[in-house]
Amino acid sequence: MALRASAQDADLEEAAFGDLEADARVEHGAELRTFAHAVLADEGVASARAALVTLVGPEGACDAAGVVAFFNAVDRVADATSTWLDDGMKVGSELFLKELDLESRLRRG
Amino acid sequence: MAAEVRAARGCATCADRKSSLSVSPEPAHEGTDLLSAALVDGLHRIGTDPGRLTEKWLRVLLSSGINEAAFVESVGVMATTVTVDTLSRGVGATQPPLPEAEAGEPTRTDVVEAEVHSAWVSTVVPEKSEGITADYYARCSRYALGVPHILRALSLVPDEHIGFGSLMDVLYISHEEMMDFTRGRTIMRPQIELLASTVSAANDCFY
Repeated sequence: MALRASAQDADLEEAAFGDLEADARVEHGAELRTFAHAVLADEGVASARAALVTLVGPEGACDAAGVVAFFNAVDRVADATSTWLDDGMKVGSELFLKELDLESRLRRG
Repeated sequence: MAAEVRAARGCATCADRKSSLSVSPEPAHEGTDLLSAALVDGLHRIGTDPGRLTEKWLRVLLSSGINEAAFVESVGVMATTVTVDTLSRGVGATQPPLPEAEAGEPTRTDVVEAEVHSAWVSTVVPEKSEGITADYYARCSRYALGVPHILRALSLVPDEHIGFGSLMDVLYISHEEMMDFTRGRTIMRPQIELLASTVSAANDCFY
């Protein structure tokens, strides 16, 4: 939830739209991102989901759909209310990135 | 409201506006029997082009006669609808029909005190919270650095605030588990956060 808020110097385009064939530092990262984009665009969802199911099972794909759904909504809450980014969230985000070893994935290589 | 959120996805006016370089804060949709043109337009904008919402747009909307609490509640309705519909797409389920409206009065749960301190809209300051809001804030602030502003966003309407918070618990992660980076479900925490970041980046949202 807090990750993108912290990565103000990071290449978020790479994180979100980067090489989807590349091996993300997160297990099954490419397939997870492909699934997220498919759901948001409502294009190719069935095939993206099927690919994800082979890797994380139907429960994992359902779990992934839940995360995509929640963030698709909370992003709009943030924008509609223009919720201000607070220092606590920024610090927490940096901690998340470090702990989850996602920082290098989000920065331009 | 939920019907308008759904209608926005196939709205030609919204598609045209999204492709334009600049956006006027004035409404570009017709009202309905129950909703003003400003509110319909607001719901469509939040649904299709949230990254370009401006404070001027909000002030225009609020000056049209919609009070702040009604706006916040509409944002909550939008968020719940978007959550349900996105989840349906993700799991390959048929979009659930909207329930029939039932007669009755709204709860009108009052917020004792709210102020503009974390967003364009008034939100409840944790130190001044009461009731279910205070209970929720107590859960939120366990894991870190106070109550993040995003978790105050809908606090002007407590029922909406708590309701949306419950979606976070189920679909993302609970406050109690937030700082446990080893905890996952059927997918692990790094995978959860990668999905979250991907969606936020695609929505051009700083969160």
